[in-house]
Amino acid sequence: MRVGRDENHHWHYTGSSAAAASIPRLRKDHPRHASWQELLAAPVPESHILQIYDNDDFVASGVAHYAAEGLSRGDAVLLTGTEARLRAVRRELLSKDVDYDAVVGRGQLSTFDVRRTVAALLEGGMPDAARYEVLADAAVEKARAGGRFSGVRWWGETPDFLHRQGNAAAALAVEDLGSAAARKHGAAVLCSFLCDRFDPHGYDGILRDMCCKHSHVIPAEDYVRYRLAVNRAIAEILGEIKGPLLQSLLSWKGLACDLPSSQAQLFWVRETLPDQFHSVLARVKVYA
Amino acid sequence: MRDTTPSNLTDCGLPGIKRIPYGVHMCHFYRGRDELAAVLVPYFAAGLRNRERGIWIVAEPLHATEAKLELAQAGVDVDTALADASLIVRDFSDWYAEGSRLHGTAVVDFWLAEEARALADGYAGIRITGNVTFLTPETWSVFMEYEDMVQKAFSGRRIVTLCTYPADGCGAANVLDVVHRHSCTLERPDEGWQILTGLSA
Repeated sequence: MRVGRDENHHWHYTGSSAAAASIPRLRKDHPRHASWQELLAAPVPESHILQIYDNDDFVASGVAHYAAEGLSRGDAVLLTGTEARLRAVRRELLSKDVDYDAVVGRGQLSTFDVRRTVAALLEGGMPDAARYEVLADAAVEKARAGGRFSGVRWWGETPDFLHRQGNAAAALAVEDLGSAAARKHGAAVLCSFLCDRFDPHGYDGILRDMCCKHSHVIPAEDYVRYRLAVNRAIAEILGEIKGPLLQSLLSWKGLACDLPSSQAQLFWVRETLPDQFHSVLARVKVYA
Repeated sequence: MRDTTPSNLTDCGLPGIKRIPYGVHMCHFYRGRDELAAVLVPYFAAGLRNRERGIWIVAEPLHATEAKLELAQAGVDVDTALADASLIVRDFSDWYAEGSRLHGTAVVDFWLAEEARALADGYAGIRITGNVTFLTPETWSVFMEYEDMVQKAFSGRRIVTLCTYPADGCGAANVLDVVHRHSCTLERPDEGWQILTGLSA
């Protein structure tokens, strides 16, 4: 369903959108989160979380929070990243008074180099599902240490690494494998992904595709600020949400993931008011 | 033989909308004091006619004294309704002060207890409203969790609920949050009212 304006600038429906049909839909019973800190502190088993970032500090703090909370709750923690990223996370963990050497020593925290992981995984430029399963099974079995640790939480930037190398197809394929591994092992999986939230092309491509591959999405570091920016931009460009706009919003089924309403609202604008989308997004960027 | 099973439907009271089901959890984004009165006065008047206990938690811009006056001007015998407790009008600040220790499921349990008490007193159900003017960006998400709980807990109960939100305090993302946590949205495109439904309907 799209909404447009007539010659008198009144909103009205203009018919269905073919693009809309391709977007997976919101599950009514999907749990929703209020902040990334809350989500990463106690992720539901089998959840597959996407952290969208545009600065490295957010990755380090987010991953360290996720790992530290897991360690304190008796979970095994697996981290797959670049050397630089793993060093940054280690620094953050130490600042949280995590005894890094001790948790590594007792096998509760394990780290993996993303370059080696990618080299072991790819076959003809795409991830080999059988290899991935072998790697994941072995890592999780070792991490569980015969039941000494209650749960498993895994952070990785393998898809991010592949995407930055220009291999978006492989990045998305790895996400599918990650979802399957999370389900198989009852693990929580967190992915950090470098993405420009203000690039309108992403809403038809990689950003939308990545969101749809995950159960939960963290769109920004400061949820309140981002919400206020989105609200202000939409108010200025579209005006008050009433009449056909309100009906459209009510009928909109959203993406098939737990997405804060600020980010969801931008997908709604993209889908239902494509002519206004670039203006809205540009305004959000100014205010965010 | 006459069917004595209580109806699952009741009169909404708003022009243009006839019957609504018990258990419905509605929302409305109002523009100013007059529109707030325009939706809540007929809503409660209809509830009193239907032998429902009305519990009106008032807040700015329509406080208790004004709310009672508006009801009286609409032909409701307010003094009698207040005296026999078929109508309870409380300022949000007083109500909140008493219930400040109630959070989440405790608030939902409070409403369910009110429903049970009203049914025991011979009422057909309860009709409630809250004017949501007290939220900040920081407390918004917590209140949305409460709305989620209400949406689930009130389904199938002898409770009619209308949550009113000031339109000028709700951005688009807030509207999205609210409408997807209610059964339906009331809107007034002209002199009459209409019900908009979406995912939860």
